[in-house]
Amino acid sequence: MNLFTKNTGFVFFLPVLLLFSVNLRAQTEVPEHSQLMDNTKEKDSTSQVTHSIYGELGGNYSYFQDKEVMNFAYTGFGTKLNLGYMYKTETYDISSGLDAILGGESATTNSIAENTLISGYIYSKYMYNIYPNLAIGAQWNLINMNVRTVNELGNNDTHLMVSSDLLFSSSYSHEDFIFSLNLGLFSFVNEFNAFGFKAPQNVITDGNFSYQLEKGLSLFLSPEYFSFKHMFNHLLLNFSTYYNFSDALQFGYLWDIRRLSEVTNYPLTYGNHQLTLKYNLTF
Amino acid sequence: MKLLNTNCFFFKVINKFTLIFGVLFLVFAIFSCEKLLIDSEPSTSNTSIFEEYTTLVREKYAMLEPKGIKLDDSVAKYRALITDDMANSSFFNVVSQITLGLNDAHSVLEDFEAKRGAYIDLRDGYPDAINSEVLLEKYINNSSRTSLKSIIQGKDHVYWGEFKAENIGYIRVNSWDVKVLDSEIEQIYIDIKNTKGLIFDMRANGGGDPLLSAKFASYLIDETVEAGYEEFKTGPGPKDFTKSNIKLNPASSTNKYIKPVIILTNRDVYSASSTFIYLLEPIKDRIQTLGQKTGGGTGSVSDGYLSNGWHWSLSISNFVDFNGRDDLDGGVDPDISISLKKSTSEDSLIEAAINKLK
Repeated sequence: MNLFTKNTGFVFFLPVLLLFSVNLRAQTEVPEHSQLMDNTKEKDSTSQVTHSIYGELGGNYSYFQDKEVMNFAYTGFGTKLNLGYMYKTETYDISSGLDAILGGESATTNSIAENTLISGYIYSKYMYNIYPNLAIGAQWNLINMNVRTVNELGNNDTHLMVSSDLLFSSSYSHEDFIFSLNLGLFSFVNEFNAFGFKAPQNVITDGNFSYQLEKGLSLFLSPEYFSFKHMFNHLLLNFSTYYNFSDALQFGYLWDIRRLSEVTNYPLTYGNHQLTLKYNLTF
Repeated sequence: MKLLNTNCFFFKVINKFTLIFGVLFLVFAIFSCEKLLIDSEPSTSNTSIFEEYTTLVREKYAMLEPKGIKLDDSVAKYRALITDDMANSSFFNVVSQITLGLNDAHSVLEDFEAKRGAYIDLRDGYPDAINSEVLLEKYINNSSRTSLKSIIQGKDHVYWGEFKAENIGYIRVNSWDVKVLDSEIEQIYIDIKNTKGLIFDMRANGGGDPLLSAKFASYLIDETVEAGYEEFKTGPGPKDFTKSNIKLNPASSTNKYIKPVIILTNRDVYSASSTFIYLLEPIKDRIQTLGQKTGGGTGSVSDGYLSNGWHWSLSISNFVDFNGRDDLDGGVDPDISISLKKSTSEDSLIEAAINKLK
């Protein structure tokens, strides 16, 4: 029996939201005497600033479907690496780093179609603590590149997506858990293949195809090949939860998904599930 | 104001419950959301694959109308022959009739596992227009007749230089998959700069990278050429096309070759080689084709896999030349039609081109 249906998904999701909202309120409604104590503590510690370098390594399970050129999906396993730096004060933190995935995927319905996945992004993130255990902010993925090379294909052997993304970020901590949710607000996206050909869809639809197009990296990064996307025509969602083994070591589960349609009813969807170990070196 | 007492037993239970089951519910919800967005298990039954492929052809193939293909009639005819329990080889043979009905060498269907495919034969009914042994022995490797340099990469090669006695340049590219640097293209045109005419031998060049063929062509003009337009499929509907005007800008080089050029053709001149020819087509007074009708393949190609793993490719655009001709996919007759004489001493197409350029 398939438990993950359209209806059950929302039925399971609602009680979770309710439980978290009750729990969040319980955590944030601090007794008055405690607030006084915390204020004193805050004054004493405004000068507390920490720097940390972190490294995260784990396994990745990815999925990919581009309805413009296939009915089936690809799934597969790979390795995830995240390296970064965080500057943290009592009221806010800023982090920056590089996240990369290397993996391989195969078709879910046949044993022929396979691909190699290389993806990565460079990010910066700012989080402001509106409560001791709740922070909101923004993440900017300066450049996010996702390349899949499909075996034995001709013109469509490479699926490429390059983007620059701005995401709303939120983070909630409870005991030894940290939950984070990022939602994409705006993106500039260069994605191809198009519905028809191996060029960005906007190049084809705008009638700008040429046999003297630039090649290589300049094609990936030329501004005219990018199109503007926002949260109502482009879903970009990241969720993560970390369990703190200690101040330095965390175990994490991360999920992300991206979905957009250059042609109505022919969406591109891809995402990752990750289990990771993260080590923070604080100084 | 104190709204909630977090130390009470109720909230302790709620906290623990939230942490343990909440995380599980979230993961469960995440997988549920994913299931809404990904259709991971399409059927691979014979009838489903037939519908998948014919839908693909209907939505992507760009030349149904120019070629007058009655796809709906073909689909109805062959659908009646499909059953879910028929053998894979029989099933492939039926589906491949749809492919062959497109009469397009860019549009193929292949079963890699069974090593079978549906292709059309471009040379069917045409005599040979190139004899590789004669070409190598009497011209390319004959240092008394020619002075040539080469780039050789496996089966792909570029030869260039001149016919010494006649002072006529010669370039031969047998595949546009050959890797040639911009600096090497520049050097090729420097080396033939002082000849009085050029033979561009395109015979047996079945295509490859059209950007490379356009780069070679851009050295043969000194002002922008408006070649026509290409209609690309942009969506599934029969009218979902956009036009891109196809023009060729001259190379930004001082070594452009603005002298008479003859392009040698045969039925294997296809795809990116046809691109080369139609980009230069408007300059008839200086650049002409000689030999045999080309293979065509003027559409651009997309490819992928069906759910059962069969590989498909389809022409997803149609080129319309500057005269409004939209039926070039089947090939174009040369300006000068010459047949290859069955001689072991000379290549009659090269000799005719030399006489023309003298």
